[in-house]
Amino acid sequence: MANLETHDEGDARILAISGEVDMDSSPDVKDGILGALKGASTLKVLLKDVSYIDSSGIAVLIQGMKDANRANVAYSLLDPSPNVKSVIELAMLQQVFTIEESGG
Amino acid sequence: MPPRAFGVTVPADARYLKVVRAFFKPVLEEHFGEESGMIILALDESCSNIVKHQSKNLDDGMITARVQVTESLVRLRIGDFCGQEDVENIRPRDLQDVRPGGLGTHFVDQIMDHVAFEPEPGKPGRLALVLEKKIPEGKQEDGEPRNPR
Repeated sequence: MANLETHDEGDARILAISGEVDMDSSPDVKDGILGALKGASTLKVLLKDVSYIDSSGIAVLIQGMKDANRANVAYSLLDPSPNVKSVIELAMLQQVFTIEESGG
Repeated sequence: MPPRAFGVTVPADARYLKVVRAFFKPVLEEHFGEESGMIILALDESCSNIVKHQSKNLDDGMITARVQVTESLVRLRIGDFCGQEDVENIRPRDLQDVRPGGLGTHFVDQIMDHVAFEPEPGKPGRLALVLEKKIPEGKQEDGEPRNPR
């Protein structure tokens, strides 16, 4: 099960996802990203508390990036957890996504 | 050490994938430590594939996954995975083509040492998926009892 919370920080909208993103929860995450894109100029998808992600979750992050590009919204993945990072690397997408580390 | 074998059967429904992951997590953590997360991912991707294609594949609407632990490897078997005719369509996609979907097979191939299909007993034309991973040398069974007192 994944939990989603959205808040704004300055010009950026932060979509914080926590929990497990799998085939069961990825449709909710997809809807969350689509909703967060509306009216945003920058969307940062915070992934530090995602304990598990599968290929359906990665697919949703890719779809979000494509939707953001179409809507001229700057899109990045913020603080991916070690598990998420490993799966992004397994998919060889580390150069495709904009990945930010807040260092905090 | 004799092989250890056990398994779980759950409905082929996305809500039960977390049950399969949780069921096998202890035995995989025991033998692979931090790397167990990736093996759980390979197992999960395989079970997800059944959920995705279940209307075509399953006759009983259930997923049966089993683990067998030998001295040197862990073998995961996902029963009634697909039909003989489906095998040639199960292949990783081109990763240069960045698009949603199609990554699961790539993950399984990358993570596991050996991926194979074997006949499903009693179900002609049906195949089980077998995933094998060698246990790292430091974590292989040595026959000594754990937590000796």
